[in-house]
Amino acid sequence: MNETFNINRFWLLVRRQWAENKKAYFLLWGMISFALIILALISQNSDVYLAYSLLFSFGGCYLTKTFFSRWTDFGRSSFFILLPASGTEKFLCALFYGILLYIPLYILNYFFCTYIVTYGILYFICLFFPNNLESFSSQIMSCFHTFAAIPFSFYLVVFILTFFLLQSLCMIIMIRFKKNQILIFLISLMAFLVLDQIVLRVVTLNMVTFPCARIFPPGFILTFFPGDFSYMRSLSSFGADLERFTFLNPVRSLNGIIWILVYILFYISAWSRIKEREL
Amino acid sequence: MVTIKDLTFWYSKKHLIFDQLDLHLESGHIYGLLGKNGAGKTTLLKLICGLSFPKSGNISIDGKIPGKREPGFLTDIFFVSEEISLPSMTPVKFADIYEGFYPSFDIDQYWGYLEKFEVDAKKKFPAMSTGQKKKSMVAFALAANTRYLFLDEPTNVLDIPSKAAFRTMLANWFTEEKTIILSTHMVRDLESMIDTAVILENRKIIMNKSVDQNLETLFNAAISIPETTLIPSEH
Repeated sequence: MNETFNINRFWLLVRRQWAENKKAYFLLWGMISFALIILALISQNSDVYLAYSLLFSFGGCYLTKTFFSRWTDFGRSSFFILLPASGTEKFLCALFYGILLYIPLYILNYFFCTYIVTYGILYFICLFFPNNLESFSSQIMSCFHTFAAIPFSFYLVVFILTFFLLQSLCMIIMIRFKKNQILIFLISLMAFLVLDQIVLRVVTLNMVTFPCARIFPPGFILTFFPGDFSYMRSLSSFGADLERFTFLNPVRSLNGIIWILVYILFYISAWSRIKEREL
Repeated sequence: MVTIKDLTFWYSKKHLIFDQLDLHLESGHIYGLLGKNGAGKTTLLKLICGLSFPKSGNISIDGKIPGKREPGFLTDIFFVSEEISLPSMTPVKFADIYEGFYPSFDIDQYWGYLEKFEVDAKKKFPAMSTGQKKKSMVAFALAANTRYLFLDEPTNVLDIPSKAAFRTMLANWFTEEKTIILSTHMVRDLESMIDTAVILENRKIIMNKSVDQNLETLFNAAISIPETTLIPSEH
């Protein structure tokens, strides 16, 4: 018997996870769809990428939570731990739902909600104001063009890296701690972001010449997104407009690689914690 | 064969649960793991199953280390905990989802056990009483036909007819290749089943011997309960 990975056992786990959590998944899908529609309506006038990113990432965290948050329920967790499947299979099953299924489904849902539903509603509104009516198809096409026009590196930093940070951190905490997992997760996340800001500050002070970098109050640069070295904001003077600074491509790539390595370490740590989880 | 050597375990270093504990359990027996509340019966079962890891010492079942939780080992054991928590589904769906994990699972046996326990297989678990949930889990555990069955306080929420049904089922299920370890403090419920008593007291096994006399008397004598404090037996 292959003790590490067996495809049959893996599919049994996938099936089991769906059977036990499908209501929670449909609920999550409904909540994300609702939020996407609201965001799409709001974003007619402003950028809400941060909100999209957080929705995307916290949705992924919720999926992780459905896997590993029942440690205080001894009956349930003992049955899960002693289920004849390896720790690797259980971990991969969590990634299957949390990454492989979730990311494509979220993107499809995003397109569906944002560009079909919202613009469908707007179309009906425009019927009452025919002078402002663009053709429906051109509206949809322009939205797809907007999506495609943004460089992939933006999605990588804003969405993918943020998602992996939150999900891997969430996974470790859900596995490691029995109680108050959500609170610990939020505190850890805040600590992580503060640390990130300090590191960013040190790095920026040493790597680029900001004419007024030293007047940044701590935490003023709300870049939030891990590894967002692409665009640093600074005040040329108090009350003035924000300026943007760009790092060189190799620095940005190196930064992205470092963050990806950090996430891989987080995931490996989560995987090893499953095997060592005691009740 | 379960072998435990020099097992030391604690949840908090100030309070040792086991100190250099040794135990050897052969196949083909129904062991009664007895002890007062807090003696460590559940903890010992958790260690044997691989739910907890020894601080020092070794545990092995047929040469395999439970703490590794290898699938090949896990298909050979089934642990029914005292607290039963089941997902929101019917026993029919439950069996459909989980039977694939246990190669020797027998679905006909499962229906038979549920019928004997008078559990409605089409009723969802959350709508069942604690006793019915426990019976469903015991039915699944027996139908899984694992070589090792660990039952933690299996009778504590069962009514009298269900206890009788449980004893009959367990007796019919048991074969020479199998090993059952029952942890209980309700000695009278299971004394007819148990062939070997393992008594835990003061972080050690103080007795591991075949039962050739009244189990309750044996237990009380082993843990030194004065006769005067005992309530007369119902038998």
